[in-house]
This record gives sequence, C-alpha cells and structure tokens, in this order.
Amino acid sequence: MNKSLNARNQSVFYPQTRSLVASVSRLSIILGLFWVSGCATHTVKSTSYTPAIQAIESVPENLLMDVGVAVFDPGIDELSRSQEEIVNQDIRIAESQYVPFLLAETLQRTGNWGIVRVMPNTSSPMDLYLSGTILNSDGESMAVRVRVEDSTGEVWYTKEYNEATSRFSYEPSQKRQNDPFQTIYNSIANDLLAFKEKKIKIADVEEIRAISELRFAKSFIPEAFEDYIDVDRNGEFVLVALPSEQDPLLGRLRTIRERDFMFIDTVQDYYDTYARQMREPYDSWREQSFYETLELRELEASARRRILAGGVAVLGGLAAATSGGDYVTQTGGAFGAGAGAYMIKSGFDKRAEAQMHRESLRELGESLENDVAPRVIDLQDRTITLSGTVEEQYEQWREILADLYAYESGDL
Amino acid sequence: MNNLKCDFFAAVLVAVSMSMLGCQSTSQNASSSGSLPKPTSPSVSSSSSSSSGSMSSSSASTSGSPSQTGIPAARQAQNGGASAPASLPQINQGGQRRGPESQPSRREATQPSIQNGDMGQDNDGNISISGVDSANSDPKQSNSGDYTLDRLPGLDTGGGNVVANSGRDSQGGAMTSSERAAILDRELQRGYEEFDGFILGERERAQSRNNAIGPSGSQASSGGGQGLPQTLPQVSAGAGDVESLSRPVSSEPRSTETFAPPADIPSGRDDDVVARQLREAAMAESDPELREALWDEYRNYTGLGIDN
Repeated sequence: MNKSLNARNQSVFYPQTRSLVASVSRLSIILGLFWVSGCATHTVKSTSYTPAIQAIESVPENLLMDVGVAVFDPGIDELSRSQEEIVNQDIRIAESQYVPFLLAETLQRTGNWGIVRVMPNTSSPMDLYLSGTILNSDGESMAVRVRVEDSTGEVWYTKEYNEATSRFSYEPSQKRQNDPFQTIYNSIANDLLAFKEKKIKIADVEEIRAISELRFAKSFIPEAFEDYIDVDRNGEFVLVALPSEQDPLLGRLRTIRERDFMFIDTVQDYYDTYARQMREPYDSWREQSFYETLELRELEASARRRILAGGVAVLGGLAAATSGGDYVTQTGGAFGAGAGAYMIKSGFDKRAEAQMHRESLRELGESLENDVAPRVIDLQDRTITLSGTVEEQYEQWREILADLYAYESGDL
Repeated sequence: MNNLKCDFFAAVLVAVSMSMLGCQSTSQNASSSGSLPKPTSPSVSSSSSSSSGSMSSSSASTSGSPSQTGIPAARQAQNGGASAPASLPQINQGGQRRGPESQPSRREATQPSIQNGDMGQDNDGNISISGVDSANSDPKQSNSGDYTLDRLPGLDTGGGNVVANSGRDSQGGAMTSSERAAILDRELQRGYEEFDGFILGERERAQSRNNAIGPSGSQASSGGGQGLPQTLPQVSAGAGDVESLSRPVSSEPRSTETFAPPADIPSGRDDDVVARQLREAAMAESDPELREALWDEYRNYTGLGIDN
C-alpha cells in the first residue's frame, strides 16, 4: 500500500520537479537576455545649483572673522587600489593648491568674513582655519573632506562633500562663469555661515579674535604675552585677560601683524597667478576626463553585468540541457548555455575596452602633469622663499621687541 | 740611542711645525677680519673654524654686493641658487645693505663662541665676525652694522660707524633706558619701511606676472554668474533671485590689472605704509584722471612734488 503510494507520489512529483527546473532554466535565460539588453546605463545628473549665501545682517567689521584656508591634503594616502590606477599624483598635488584658492575666493565673495586667504604656512594665526583633503576628483565627480577649526583650537566640524557634475557644466558658457564644481565651494561656504550663525555668539567671536591676535603677539614676545592666554586640558586656548589697548608693545605687534597680512596677500597674488595659469589646461583635462570617466564607468558596469548574466545563463542552460525532459527544453538549455558563454566573452571584451579608457585617462593625466607640475614647483618655490625671507625679518623684529620689552618693563 | 734622539727631535719638530701652521691659519682669518679679537670660548675648534670660514665666503659675497639677495644660504642651496625672488635687504647704520644671514641675533652676540659668530663686512670692506663677545671686541674694529644690544643702531656719528658699546655713545655719554628704547623703536620703524618696500616690490612683480597671463584668468578672479553670493531672504524669494545674484558689492570682480607708475615715480622701496597704500591705489585705479590725482597725492606725501 505504502509502496504504491510512494510510487504514485513519485510519479506525481517528478513531473513537477522537471517543470520547475525547466522554468528556472527558461527564467535564467530570459533574465540573462534582459540583463544584456539593459546594459546601457543612464546616469542622471542633477543640474541644480546651490548659490553661496550672504548673511542677512551686516556684521560690524571688528566682528568679521578672518579665515585661513590651508593647502589641502592631496589625499594620495587614501586612494583605493582602483583609484591608484587612474589618479595622477602630480595632478592631485596641483589640485591641492588650486581647490583651496577657489574655496577662499568663494568665501571672500560672500562678504560674510573678514579677509580670507590661502595660508602658505601655519605660523600666522587666523580666527578660523579650514583644512581639507581631496578624496576624489576625476572631472565627473569631486569629493572633499573639510575641517574647520577656530583660533582657540576648537574644531567646529568635519564634513565630507561629494558632487557629481553634468555635461552642462563643461559647456563653454558655463565654464566661463563658474568652476564645474562651484556648488561644492558654495556648500562649504553656506555650512560655515550656518554653523557660525547657529552656534557662535558675539562673545565667542570676540574671544576667538582676541586669541588669534594674542597668539600672534605671543609668537613674537612670549614673555610679554604668555599670561594673557592659557591652554586648557583639551589643548584649547583660553583667554585669561586682555592687554591694555594703550600697551605700546601691543601697538607694535598690531603694526607687525599688518605686515604679516601684507605678506599673506603677496602669497595670494602667487596663488592667483597659479590659478589663472592652471585653469585652462586643468578645465580641459577635467572635461576630457569627465567623458573618459563616464565611459570607463559604463564599460566597467557593463562588463560586470555581462559576466554575471553570462554565468547565470550558462548555469541555467546547462541545467536545462541536462535535466530537460523534452527536446525543446534541452535544446533551449544548450542555446542558453551558448548565449551565456557569449555574454561572458563580451563582458571580458568590455573589460578590455575599459582598460583602454584607463590608459587614455593615464595619458591625459600625464599630459596635464607636464603642464602643471612646473607651475606647482614654481609656486612652492616662490612661497617658501618668500616665507623664509619674511621669517628672517620677523626674527630680527622678535629680537628688537624682546629688548624693547626688557627696557620698558625695567628688566634692563 | 742617537737614532732615537733624532727621531724624537724630528717628531717634536714636526709637531711644532704643525702647531705653527695651525696658528698661521687662525691668524690669517684674524687678519682678514680686521684685528679680530681672539675668541675666548673653549668651544672653538677646528670644525668651528672651518664652519665660520665657509660662512665668511658666503657673507662676503652677499654683503659686498649691492644686489645681494638676502636669502639664507641654506635656502639658496635648496633652491639651486636660482629663481629666488628678491629678498628683503637690510640696512646697517652706515646705510649698507646686508643679508639677513649675516646678521647675528642678540643672543648669539652675547655668546662668546666663534661657532655662533657671523661674518660681516665693515665699511672698509674688511670682513669681521660680529658674534664674538663684546667684552673682547673693539667696537671701532668690529663695525659690522649689526643690530645688537651692545651695538645699538642709530648712534652713528655721520660716518656710519656703529658705536655705543657698553651703553655709551661715541661722546661717552650714558644712555637711559628710554633713549635706548627710542633707538630700538627707530630701528623697528626702519625695518617696517624696508619690509613695506620689499613686499611692495614683490607684489608688483607678482601682479605684473599676473597681468602677463592675460584676461583668460580663472573664474575665481573674475567672479560673476552663479558663483555670486546672495542674501538669505533672496534665497527664499523665488523669482527675484536671479537679479539679486548680481547685486552685492562684494561680488564684483576683483580687478588684478595694474598700471605702471609715471616716469618720475621712484621704485617705492623706501615708502612707508601710507605712501605704499597711495601707490597701490594709484596703480590699481583704472580711471586715468583719478589715477593721476592719486599719483599727485603720492608725490605730495612723499615730497616729490616739493622737490620738483
């Protein structure tokens, strides 16, 4: 009885299993074919534009914070293996000088801040200090990480910005007006303003400005100004007292600080020249890189999909060919396996094509590298030389000021 | 035994000769420095002598030339001695310019070590070491134009000689602290003027380079378009946004074009802050009439108008 039941059950279930295998096989083949047909990718780029915001209320000049933008970290240490293949390190270094200049110009144009300058070094304390790392820049997208810190040493925030641009940004009329990634700079400027308006009170601004001045003064005459600021347990500067406005030494230090700003302004002229020299070849490179990167990404995605779909189709086809109960299923399975194999081959072809685009990107990079690398060296050379010469002068002033302090305080 | 004696005498002879040669070398340095006082520091060694010797050649070559660069020797070497922008010259009391590398610090000057000594050049072109102990140095002979506490500037008697060792001027009068402070203040003031002239020159060079690139500069400098800021209420104002974008004064393109000064305007290296600002404003002014008015103001301020 049981045996007959089992036999019946087998006879009942066996055709169901076979039809299930056949269905899966057909589905695999169909899916594989659909996958292949859907290989063309459609990347949607947003063309919305974020303008830089200007504060509603006008801020008195003595409460405008001066902003220093450090030369960015080129982010070479953070490159992934795939990025390493196409990222040109010299271009990254060139960008690390170019990007902060554009950021400084954007911040300056908003009118929300005092002077905004790219800083040649960290020896001149500014009220706010922006530093950053370039995480990605290939013409098609750009990612930077920005850190904001005030003169007390308190970190306001660290934030990553990522922006993909559209072809529209590389149209000549657009290129003339804006950097293709101007939105990133505007977003950074807006975040900075929003943070300041939300979190920083007027008293904080006054303290930050006083500390940056006293830090500068202390770097010249430590013995005269060390009692005015202290460092708390978090390593942040705190204001202990303010010097008298009639203090002649403070007056001299302010005069010297004006000279320091003049020096920084001169370096700004260097950066301006550098940015103007770099703009044309760099924009041209970015435009070509934009198309190459898009192509590369699409080819890589297409290759990946084809290989995957081909693999599934081969497996499904083999299953159908071996387990198919009828001739049609077996033939379909064999056909599916063949189609899958073809898809895998085309996937590898796409990979080879992507490799050609990678090579092309490398060549483009080398071409720009030849153009910008000497300019970077020239900029660095001029900046370092000027900084060194100015530092020599500061050293002499430090000695004179130390003697003046000694005379005026009665130590001598 | 005789051989042994001969060897001994020969060895003594060689040792004496060697020591004499060593003395001769030192005295050569001393004579070249213009009766250099013998250093009393125990740290004087052959290595320090050689290092100071190498410094002397560097210093002599820079301070002897009016077009000296004033870039530290180490940095010059780093830069391959080329492409260095004009450096900040310094004026000693005799009006001679000298490089910063040849100027010892106050602290160096009080250390009686030749290792810290710095070779300078006096008014007669003699090379001197200015970092030796002032107690052992003759101020008239070691006039290197350095600023130190022991050689206060501003006390020259017309011939450019720096005196005032031990707090006494050439007439032998004692100076009060306020007098010394006033002198230091003047020195500081002179430093400002030098610095301003230097920075101004450097900015002129940078801006002329910038102008040479042509008008196809970066949008960062040209501003305009959507990169301009707008006020917060205008962001939410909707339709009125576009107009407001081009309105703020701060968004006006920054002109980097400069106009060359007229022929009668000197280089401006000795300009003070006000003169420098007038000069910069005049050079940046695009309106010819306003520009000329600014130059007139500059002439009046600097005394050029009176002289002419």
